[in-house]
Amino acid sequence: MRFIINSCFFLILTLNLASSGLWAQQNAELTYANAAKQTEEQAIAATYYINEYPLKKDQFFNDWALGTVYFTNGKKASRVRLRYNGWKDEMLWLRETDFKTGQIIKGTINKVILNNSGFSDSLVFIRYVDSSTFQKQQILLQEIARGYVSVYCHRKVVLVKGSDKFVQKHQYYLQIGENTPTKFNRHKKTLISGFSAEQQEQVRQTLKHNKTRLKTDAGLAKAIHFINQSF
Amino acid sequence: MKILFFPVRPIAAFFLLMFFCKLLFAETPPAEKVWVHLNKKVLITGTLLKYKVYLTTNQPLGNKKTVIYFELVNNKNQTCLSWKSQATDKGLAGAYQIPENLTPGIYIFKVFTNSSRKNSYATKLLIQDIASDPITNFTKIKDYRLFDASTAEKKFLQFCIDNDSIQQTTSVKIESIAEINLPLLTVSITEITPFDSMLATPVLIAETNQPPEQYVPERDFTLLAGKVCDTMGYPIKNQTVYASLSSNWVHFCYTNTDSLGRFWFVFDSTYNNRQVLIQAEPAKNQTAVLSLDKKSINLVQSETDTLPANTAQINYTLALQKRELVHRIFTPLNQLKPSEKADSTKENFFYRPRYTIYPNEYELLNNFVEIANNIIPTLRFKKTNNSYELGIVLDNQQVYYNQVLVCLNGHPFFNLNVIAELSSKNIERIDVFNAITLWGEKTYNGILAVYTKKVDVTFENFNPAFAVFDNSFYEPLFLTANQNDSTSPLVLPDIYWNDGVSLTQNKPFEIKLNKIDLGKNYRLRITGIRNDTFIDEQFLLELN
Repeated sequence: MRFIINSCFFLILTLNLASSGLWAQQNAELTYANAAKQTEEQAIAATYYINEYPLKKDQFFNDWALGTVYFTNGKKASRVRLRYNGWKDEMLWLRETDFKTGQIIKGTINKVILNNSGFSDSLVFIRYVDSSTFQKQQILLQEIARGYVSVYCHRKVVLVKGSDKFVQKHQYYLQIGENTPTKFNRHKKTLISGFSAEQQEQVRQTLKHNKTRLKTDAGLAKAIHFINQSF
Repeated sequence: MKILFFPVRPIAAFFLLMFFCKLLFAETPPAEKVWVHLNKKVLITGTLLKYKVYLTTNQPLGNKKTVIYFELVNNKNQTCLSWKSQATDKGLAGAYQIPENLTPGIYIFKVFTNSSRKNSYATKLLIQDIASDPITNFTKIKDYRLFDASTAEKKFLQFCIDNDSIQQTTSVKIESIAEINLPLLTVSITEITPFDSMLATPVLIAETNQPPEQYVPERDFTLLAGKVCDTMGYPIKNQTVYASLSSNWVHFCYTNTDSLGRFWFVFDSTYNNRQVLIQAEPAKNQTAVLSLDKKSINLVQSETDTLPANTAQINYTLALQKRELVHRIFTPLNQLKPSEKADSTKENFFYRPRYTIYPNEYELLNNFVEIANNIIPTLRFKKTNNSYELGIVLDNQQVYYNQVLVCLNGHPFFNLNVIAELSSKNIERIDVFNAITLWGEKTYNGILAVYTKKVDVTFENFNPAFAVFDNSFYEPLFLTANQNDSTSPLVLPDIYWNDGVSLTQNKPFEIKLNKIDLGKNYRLRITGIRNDTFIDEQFLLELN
């Protein structure tokens, strides 16, 4: 009996090993899947960056963080080290093979997502073409809340004249529906006035019901979340 | 001993269970079968062969795509044309332009997938070359009637033919008798040609032992592999290999060879239907030999049968040629070229150049040294020791002579002697990027992109180690017959062909026939997949 069981066991083991050869086709499929992934990826094109104030970290919004860059042609560059420079409004890329830094060419990117950047959530930056100024300019905006109503923030940092001190000058943008984003100062009145007359009362009631502070990013995101839910 | 053998039974039982589970749930290889509906079987060179491919498989494809291979084989069993495209669950609709230089004759048209290679769909096609006859006495109106209506009633379809004498059109209504779950169908009305008897004989596919490596299975990309060796045949490792396209912007990708000198590229749809130049960056005192894996089959000029045609057949071909001419007049050929679509998706990864110079706007300059010294800012071009050097001035006012990338018509270019001979007559545009640019793992101190007018710069001028890869991955670009658009005149050489007809019980499908009639008998053909089985219904129409 023992002999039969033992021989059965070895037979099954051999058959299992032999059948594993059938997986070769699946492995081949995996190779093509990898190749498909490779087509989605694109190397980053950047111009060389020279830090004018190497000792001042205030110009940067975050420390080097791993992130993904989404290009305008639908491709992406994943697991790249990125950092946002608020002074020059540029996304910096650290090439880890030789630790050279480049400014990603803004016109080629759609969106940048930064993970583990020291913030609770991942940071999402989008490229926005501001045509309100005399010359059209491309700026990178951080996404605070997204939906029918979206709020973005331009993490601007300015250099105080006559000194080498950086101060924050963040500018918030409000976008309702498909309209172009407009600047807003995080006051309830301004937020409500952005909506149409029929919607204003509804927004007022939502803000009243859910007491949230608009002056903090988390509070603002929460408020916009409630407003989006009410529509 | 008992203790030793104690765990053997449950383990054996477990493995036995696993084995039977595996047998039970093992994925059987997909049994694929290909069915094809063509717009016509008699074609003129330079015109479109429209097709709809139906794929029956025992596994739902879902979002997965299957590559369909098309081959045009002559009587000597030589493949004269081959292309491929991707099909989804719904099949594939596409068109292929028959090249002008294809030898006229009878060809076998084969369609297959990788798994149905030996069991491919095959039919005969007659390809004629075009004559430039004037178009005269072209249109007249005739009435149609369905002369095998009794057969039609037995099927699941019903027909009704109306003749509108005011509008001067004839309409054929096709209605489904029972409510059936029909996916998209293809409907066509073609003439019964004098060549029908020649084309009607069944095609027998001889089982060929084609090596499977001849085609690389593809999804929505092309895999290209190759090898770089030195003149002695030893592999060169860490050699940069570039793949680039000829265009009016810079577009290339690169890779490095492994320890065995191998490299591989994954091309996306940007590279489809394009000639891709593969070149190894020349290293000092080393000659590289580049070889590619064989993949695509180019057009083979070969002898085919001469056709002993009778008068009726010759007359028919002439009339067909006239119709094709009318079709060409109304449909500009540039709309039919699939490469147009591929062009619109390009992006220059260097984005915007700092300077763009058009040498035509200046006085004539005889060589590139004069051009660089006079009209291009930030560029230094000089001759030292019988070789040219290109330098670029950066923002810090320093001149960099190393790591300056020169591109000619979009390709990376390493032979500065050819650039030096270009005069302002030859050059259309010069783009200068004078900034240190990081591109993946590469660093360039500056980029100079020169775009020539028509000048004889052959691929041999580029690099001793080069190969040209013809990525003939066909992107279907099918022009549907837009009957509602009254602004553009539409001539349907095959009377009617629609690749996407949805048919339900309450909504009959109607075809309005135009006044292009030559022959007497016509064939109405409806093809599709109904309840997972392929249907191919044919009805005859006769002109009164």
